[in-house]
Amino acid sequence: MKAEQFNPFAIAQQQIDQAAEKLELDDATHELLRWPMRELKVTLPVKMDDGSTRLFHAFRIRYNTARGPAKGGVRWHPLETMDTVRALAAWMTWKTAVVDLPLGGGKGGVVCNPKELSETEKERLARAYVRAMAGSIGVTKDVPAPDVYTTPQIMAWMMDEYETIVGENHPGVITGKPLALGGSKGRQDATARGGVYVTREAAAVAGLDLKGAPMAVQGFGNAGMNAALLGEEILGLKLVAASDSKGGVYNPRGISAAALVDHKLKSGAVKGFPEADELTNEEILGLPVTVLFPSALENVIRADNAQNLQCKICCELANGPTTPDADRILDEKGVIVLPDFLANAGGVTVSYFEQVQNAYNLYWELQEVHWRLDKRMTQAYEAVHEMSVQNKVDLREAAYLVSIARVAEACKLRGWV
Amino acid sequence: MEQKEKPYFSSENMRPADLVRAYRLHERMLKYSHLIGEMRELFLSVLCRRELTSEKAIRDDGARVLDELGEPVGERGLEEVTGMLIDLYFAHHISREDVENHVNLVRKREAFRTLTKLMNSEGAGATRIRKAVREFCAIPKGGLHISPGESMGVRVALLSRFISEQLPFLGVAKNHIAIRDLDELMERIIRNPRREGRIGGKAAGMFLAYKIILPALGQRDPEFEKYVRIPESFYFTSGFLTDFLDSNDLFWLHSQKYKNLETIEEEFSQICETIQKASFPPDVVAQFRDFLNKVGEHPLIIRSSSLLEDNVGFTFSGKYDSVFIANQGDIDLRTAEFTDALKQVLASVFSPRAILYRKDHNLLDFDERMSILVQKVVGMRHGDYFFPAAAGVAYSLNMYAWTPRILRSEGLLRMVFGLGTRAVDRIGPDYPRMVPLSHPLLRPEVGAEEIRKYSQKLVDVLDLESSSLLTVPAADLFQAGGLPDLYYAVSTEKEGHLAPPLFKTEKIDTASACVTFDNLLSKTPVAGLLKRILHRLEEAHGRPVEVEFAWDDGMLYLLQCRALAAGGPAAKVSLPESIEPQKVLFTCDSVLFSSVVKDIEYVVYVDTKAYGEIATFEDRIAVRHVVGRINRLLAGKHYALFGPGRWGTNDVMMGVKISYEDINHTRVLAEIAVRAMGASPEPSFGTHFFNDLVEANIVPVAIYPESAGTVFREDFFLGCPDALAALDPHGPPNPIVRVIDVPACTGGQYLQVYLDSESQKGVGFLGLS
Repeated sequence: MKAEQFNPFAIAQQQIDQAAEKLELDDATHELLRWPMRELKVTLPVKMDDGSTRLFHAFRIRYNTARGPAKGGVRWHPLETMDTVRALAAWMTWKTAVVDLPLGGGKGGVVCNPKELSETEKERLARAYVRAMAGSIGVTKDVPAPDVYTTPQIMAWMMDEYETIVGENHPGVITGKPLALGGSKGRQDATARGGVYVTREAAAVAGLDLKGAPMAVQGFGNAGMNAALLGEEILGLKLVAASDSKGGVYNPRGISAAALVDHKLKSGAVKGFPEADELTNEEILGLPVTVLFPSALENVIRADNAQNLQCKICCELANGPTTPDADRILDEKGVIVLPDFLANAGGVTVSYFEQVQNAYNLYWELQEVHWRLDKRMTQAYEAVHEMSVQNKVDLREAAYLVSIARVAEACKLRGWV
Repeated sequence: MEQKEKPYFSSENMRPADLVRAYRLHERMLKYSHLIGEMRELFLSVLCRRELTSEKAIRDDGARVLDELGEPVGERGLEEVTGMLIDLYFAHHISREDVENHVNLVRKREAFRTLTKLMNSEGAGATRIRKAVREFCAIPKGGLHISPGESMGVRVALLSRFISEQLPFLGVAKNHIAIRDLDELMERIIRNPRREGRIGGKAAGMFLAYKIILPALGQRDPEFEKYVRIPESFYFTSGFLTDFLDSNDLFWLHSQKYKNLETIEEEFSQICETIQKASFPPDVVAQFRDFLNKVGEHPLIIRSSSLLEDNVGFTFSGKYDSVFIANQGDIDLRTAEFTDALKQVLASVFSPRAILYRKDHNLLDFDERMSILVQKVVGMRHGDYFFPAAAGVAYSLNMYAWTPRILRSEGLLRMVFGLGTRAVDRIGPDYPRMVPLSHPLLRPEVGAEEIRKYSQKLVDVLDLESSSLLTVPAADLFQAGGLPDLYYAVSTEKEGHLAPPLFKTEKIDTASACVTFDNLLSKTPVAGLLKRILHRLEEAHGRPVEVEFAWDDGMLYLLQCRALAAGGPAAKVSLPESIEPQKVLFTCDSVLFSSVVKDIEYVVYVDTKAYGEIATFEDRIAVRHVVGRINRLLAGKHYALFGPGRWGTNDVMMGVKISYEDINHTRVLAEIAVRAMGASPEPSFGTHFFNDLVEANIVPVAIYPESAGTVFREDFFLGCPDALAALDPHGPPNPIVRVIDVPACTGGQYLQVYLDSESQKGVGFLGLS
């Protein structure tokens, strides 16, 4: 597929089409789910530090709100397009549905290059975005969150601007805020933690003993580091290999996750960790491990290397690490692939918890966040697994079926279709 | 006018106080009785200029006084009385302070005449000159000065006698360094008892920069005055090296530079050993001991300050050694440590890299003499370690602009936590904070993970216990605690986001701390100060400058200043428009300097992919030797060197580890950045290596073959026959390095390279000569 023909929204629609066929959805419901329900495109004039004014184009899409207010991040990216935002808004709809959150799906984007903006310009841009969107966001309508190149600080500015406009305290209008402004505890490792919980469930169903079993982490960033730490702590897995953009390290006898995290934070890379051999990003995929966490980039597991995988469970913490062709190969090999929008749904779940705590104005202890996250992820896995057994499909397809069925049900109950 | 002709002695304007004033003035003048005539001449000229009297009126008054006294109006009597009247008028009209200024001006003129005479006489010794300068400067500065025009000759003579004879240096320094500044400098010059000498380029550059920023005479910027300093510095003249070589019978070393490079390389370690074994004469050692006693136990840096070094256009960056010493404890130990460090610095005059650099810049015949600049290291003690809160290099011309918003003319900082040595040298996967001064907080990385990746992870410190320069992980240093400046230096991770501490008393989570300097850049004047300093220095030198600096305890220290060879971005280069596509060998979208390099005959190509696949460190190092060998063989030819990643890196995984002497004959140095090598956003710019390229007129080119729209004809570079064996029949074959004889492969065409920094476009194509 050539780059100029790549349209993420077309792919999102194909996925809906496949699920609709399996679920035997009626045409109207199928067609409704193929399109965003509300799109807003705005132009934001922003004063720059040097006194000039620059125009920024921005979007916000509520894909489907049948199950609740839209939920989804705001991306700041120079190559942002309406179709990217549409596709991501659709995926958010399925993600909130698969973990059964009472939320819909949405996404926003600003076409800008944060590498060219000072902090004060970022603040003005964030506030301009909220001023333009104030009528259509809110705790009962649409709740933005951080995403590509947007930070808790930017969320704080956005929340402040919204509250200034409505003249009331509304912390729940945005999630991913700093703790001091109503953020939730446990957000930091939520994505990895959710992945670890579903890995535990999948292993239990498959009868795999994880105690002392080897794991490898491809992509030792925030999610990857937490996966290594929590895999060790919660599942008793033994970290044997990890890699990042500069290469990887391997020791079949085991590597202390905490020591490796420490080494990475100090030196900037996992490479050079003592008492471990070096290996490449490609080699790490083929190691004889029980659990593999691809945690960095898209398309790392492809048709040309899927055959090499020896893991029993592949828990996709990254978005889209496995290509569709590789998916088929892994399915034939009997590898349990925990699909990305289930495996990394811990993040959006804790965002939802943040909304709930904001609404109650009562904040939970960390243990309560962990306990509730565990319950949600476990139930989500159970539903997806059951669907996969019933329909004899892999977990990815099952996850789509579960979520699309849930959204379709809500649309029907409302009498929309 | 009529009023002025009126006799002074009238009851309306005569006050008893005037008599007191006149008497006091007269007493003052009597102290310098031989200057009374000259003073009166000056007083009269002031009174006339201010139209308070005229020569005729005062003579008329004198005649009247004589008449009243009943004395004959003879020439002698008239002159005496007129003189007294000048004093009286002057005391009446001119403020006390101004009177003092005029008396002192006459004294200064006299001292200045003595100095001028001395400077123009053959064989006047440094001690006599020093004494004359002292006498001149002992006269209070006051509000009146000898005009710059009058004093220029003496200034230049003094500058060339004590600092440097280099014309470009003198051309700038004479406008900024006053005689009084030289007095301040001389106070700190330490002379050899037998040999005279100057203080050398580095010391001169630093002192000149300081005086451009904070001139002794004239308007001073209050902000500079408040924040800018130079570290306490002492200048050991070049006489010490000459004396050392003489007294150890080592004068033969002066001819070392004329040997061939291989011999120089072979003999260098022997020379170092010989120098370390030799000793300074006992009286000189005693001089060192006195000096160290005076300085006290403060860490010192012993820096080369050769007469050639750091002069305009030739930076010699990194060619001579600088040595840190802890300077702690027993005076005998301190003296021994000091002399060892001096010897190490002196030995570096004979190092192959220094000699080669001089050869390449036609400086070999210059009688290079090394003087030594000793500075108190800027910083504070933290446990056993000593270092400043921040240090680095500032460039008046910013070549690191990742967005057109950044104004190149406003400069760039490379800043590190701890000693600035980490910002000066190129240091593998560790990164200084790059600060574009037009937008100090802008950075090309977004997101905590990316910022962390491109941040400083290691800190250079001076270990006072072992008296050595150490590199320690920043994380260990932070966690050890007790570092007050972390508030300014770091950001910490808060919920996946890096943010600087909000207030000074905030407890800093050292485990997640990452050096960003966000608070230093936004909450102290450091960025604004450096921007203005660079601007002023560039203006004074008439060319771009680089400044080494340190920031500690709220003060900015200038450690060194060099005027760079590059005269700024060259005039716009127009890229040829109608090049046939099949003739284009590469294009690039990131251009540092506009330039045109025509008719390149040979291309030396280091196979990027094959280099990436080399398994062992040794094999990667072997590539360096082959490239160096070819470089020597191609001396005098037009050749271009293409290779992977970053040239000159210390980390062979990032690119080819190479030094200046291995590439000095190339015309174009192309870095092929591929992601597999960890292509980084930091170009070679800002390192000693890059300075070498600029000075040697080697054009750097960065090619990103993986970026959309870039042409890179790897097939051409790999497909042409390899001419290495023909060129170097006796050399070892190397599968990674290829030599392409361009005209032989293309039917007489050559590689033509056009680069335009304005449009950020460059192209290399085949064309006829």
